[in-house]
Amino acid sequence: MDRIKQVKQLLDGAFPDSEIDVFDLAEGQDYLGITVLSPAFKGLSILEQHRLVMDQLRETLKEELHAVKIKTRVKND
Amino acid sequence: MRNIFNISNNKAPAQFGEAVTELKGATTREQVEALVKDHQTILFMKGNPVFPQCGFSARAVGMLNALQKPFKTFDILSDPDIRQDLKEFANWPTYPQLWVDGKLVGGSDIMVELYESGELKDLLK
Repeated sequence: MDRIKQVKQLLDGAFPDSEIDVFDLAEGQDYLGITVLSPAFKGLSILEQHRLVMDQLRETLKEELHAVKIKTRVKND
Repeated sequence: MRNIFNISNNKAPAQFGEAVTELKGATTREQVEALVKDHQTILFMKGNPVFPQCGFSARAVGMLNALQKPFKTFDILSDPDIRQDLKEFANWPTYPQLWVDGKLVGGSDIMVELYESGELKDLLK
């Protein structure tokens, strides 16, 4: 199973019109870096932005969440 | 504890964190609520400020020490019930968690962003 692909697909579906990057921070894909540049973050605090991303991951990656590093930015039109 | 480290080596990082061990409340949820309500700044972490048990917790402690404001810590490894219940109460699945004025600020990634932008310093004033 390619976890990077899986996470990327999941986030692409959840955040339309966004720039999403998922990458390995360690060997073995158990520590993933995730950056999401999305218009959906407009007006939200960093906590709320991260929560939106985390909510998507919670379903499929319950066991690996400790090892996710998230970065979010508002994407302006 | 603070003095022991500073006497022999004045380059040792100053320690502003203090571990909380006492719990108030009859149920786990009441204990969790009391912890975030009774302490202006509290970091829920693995281990304590002197011996963090996880790299992310160590990083969080490091940032708070660098800001030189007193803070409390709670070792979630010491209490499995609190560890589980706070995740649900906070709707946040990981540790460390920084709480200020009864509100969740975030985990270590968010702390890094807020630290770098200077917002964390303002929050702790």
